[in-house]
Amino acid sequence: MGAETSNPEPLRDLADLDRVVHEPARLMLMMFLYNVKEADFTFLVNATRLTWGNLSSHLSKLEEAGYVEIEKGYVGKKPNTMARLTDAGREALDRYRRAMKNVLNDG
Amino acid sequence: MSGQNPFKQVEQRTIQMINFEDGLWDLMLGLIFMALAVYPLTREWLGPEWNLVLFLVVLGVVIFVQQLVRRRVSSPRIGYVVPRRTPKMRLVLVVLVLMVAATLVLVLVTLLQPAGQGSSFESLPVKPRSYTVEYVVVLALVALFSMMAYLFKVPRLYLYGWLIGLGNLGSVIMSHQAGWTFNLPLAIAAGIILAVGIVLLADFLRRYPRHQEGL
Repeated sequence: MGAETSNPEPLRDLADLDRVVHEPARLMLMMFLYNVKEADFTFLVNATRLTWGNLSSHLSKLEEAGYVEIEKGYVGKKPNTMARLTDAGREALDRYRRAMKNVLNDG
Repeated sequence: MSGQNPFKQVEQRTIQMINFEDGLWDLMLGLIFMALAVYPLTREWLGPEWNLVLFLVVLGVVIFVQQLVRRRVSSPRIGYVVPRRTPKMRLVLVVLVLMVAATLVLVLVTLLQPAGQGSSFESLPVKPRSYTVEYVVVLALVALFSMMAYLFKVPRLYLYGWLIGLGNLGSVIMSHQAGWTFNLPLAIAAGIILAVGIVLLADFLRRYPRHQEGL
């Protein structure tokens, strides 16, 4: 760990990766939400193939980190929960993309 | 696909899920071109003006019903999504709408031209006719559908471009050479697209059962 100060830039990027975003299921969720204004749980389950329980738990973690906003509502008489990426979530994903590009860019 | 940027893949998958997964777009397209296929028949009964009115009414009804069925049947199964309108997506949308409108106008113009034999002009000598406009329409249709197929990664749209383009060309040629009043080649093309749409819709209903949140 003493060598940390002499780490080249890509390795420092790797160490600084946002672990909330880095988890594969959460990364997938954020990528889908990045492309839309908002989407409901049904869409996210179909798109990611996560179970309802997993989806709910990962979205709660993203909500705790301030990356996702969740709004409970109704479509007709049926309950419907919409999720949307916050500005902070969008920035976090952009940062993560840049960091991964630097890390994996071996050219 | 595997070498492609995963962000692009997710973007394309989202577009596919929202627009092309349920087959409703295919059914709408098939019905519109089927209406164009019977256009000369209904023109004989109604006259050109009322026929155009009828076609526009059919167009409006088909689009309205497609939206209604999507909201009532498709969205509760695949999920509700509010698309994000980025400047790039807006530009793509505007270009697509303009191209679809231009193509529909071109197809209508080619189909509205008077037939050679077997029409009210039967007694007149048939002048040799070039099909330059129709060839341009084929190319325009193939270009439009190929662009959509490439942008959204929906390969069946390549086939649709050729089907509709050649169906339209075949209809015009048969109308001028053999005096056909029913656009059979275009009807066959529209029929194939309708069949694809029905298969996709059936598959969609099987793969995405209606369920309540959390169940």
